[in-house]
Amino acid sequence: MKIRLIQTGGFAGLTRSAEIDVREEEANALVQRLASAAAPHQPPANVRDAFNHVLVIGDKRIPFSLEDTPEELKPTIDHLIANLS
Amino acid sequence: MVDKLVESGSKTVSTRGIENKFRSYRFRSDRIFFSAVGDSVRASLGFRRRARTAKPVLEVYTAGNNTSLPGRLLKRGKSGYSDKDAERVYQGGMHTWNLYYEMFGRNSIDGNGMAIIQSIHYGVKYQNAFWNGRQMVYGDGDGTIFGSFTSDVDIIGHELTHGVMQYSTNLDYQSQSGALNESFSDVFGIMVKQRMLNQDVKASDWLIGANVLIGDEYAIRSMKEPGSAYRNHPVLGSDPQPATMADYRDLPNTPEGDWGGVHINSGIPNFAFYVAAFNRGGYAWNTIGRIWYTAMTDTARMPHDATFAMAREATLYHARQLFGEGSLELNAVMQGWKEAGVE
Repeated sequence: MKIRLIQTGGFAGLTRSAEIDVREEEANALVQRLASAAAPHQPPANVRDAFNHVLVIGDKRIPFSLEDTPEELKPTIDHLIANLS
Repeated sequence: MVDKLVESGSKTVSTRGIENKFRSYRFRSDRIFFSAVGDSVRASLGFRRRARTAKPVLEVYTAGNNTSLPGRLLKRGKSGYSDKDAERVYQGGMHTWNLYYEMFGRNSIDGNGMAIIQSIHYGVKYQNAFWNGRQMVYGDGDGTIFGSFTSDVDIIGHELTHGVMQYSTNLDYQSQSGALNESFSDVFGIMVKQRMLNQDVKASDWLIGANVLIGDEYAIRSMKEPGSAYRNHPVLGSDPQPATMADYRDLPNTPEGDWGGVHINSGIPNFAFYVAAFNRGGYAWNTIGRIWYTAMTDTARMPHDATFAMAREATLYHARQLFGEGSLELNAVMQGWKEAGVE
């Protein structure tokens, strides 16, 4: 199952993304665990030029905060970030 | 503590000029005397140390390639910081404070001497600079696409201006108000660069992030010709910014859409400012820059949800107030918005 990370914004305002293939149960676990880092669906109050991150798994999209990513998901997210294009 | 409070008291530019003149003829003999006495003697004579004018308070930290902020405070030696990035953000912060204080009479981010806090070496190969609501943060870049985000003084001025807006008209970070938020940051960022280089509107390249995006032919944004900052970049493709309302990008107000394209549609008000400043001529900060500053800090005419049309109205109003009906400045501002297609 494909999971895709989308990164937008930042000072340069670029849209970049990366994809990896994972097993379905892994993808489902990812969706559940990332819920704790879910970002509100509204623009930031005072933060400016920060990146926005959204994880897309199947028909689900989860805007999340990179800083709040649970420790056990960091290797996967870091791998995706390193491969953004 | 007392010094801090005294320093943070706002003084007008004209007072400062008089004080400088006063100091220059008094300075030579006083320096010898005052260097020999302590603070308590100075105080008993009625002189408060460093109380004559406002001065910037600048603090530079290193995040040490981690992500906790602000990180570790760096010390500045007599010849500056030993860390190149630290020295750049220190100098950039100083140039930005100087523009706001000397040209617009604003003492720092909040207008009341707030410390300018900057953290460098954020994260690992982090490809961004941002304002986090309290301070400025800079990444080192990946070294291939982006160099260090401390490489351009206009980026430092841009981020600090986000702070200024937070303490004035805190323009919502979405759609047109968000694009205005981004544009004001570029406008003051480019003026910091122009004033540092003593460039008039003709000499300026009007480029934002000319050094940080690696490659001589690339910059992050062009205010002179939005959409031309980079073309056919091997990784980034081409600059998507529009210059006029005809090409306004209606993007969704979601993270995927960068909240309605705040970093894309900012090209339109950026172009309006460029045309106005260029038509007026001379140094941007003396004329059109003043109009933009007064408009940016006018919370009645520039509410948090302002549109491009409201920004146009606000700048026209302040052009009339500052320079008068029929002035070169008013005509230049009208022309700027007209060429950007904003009515």
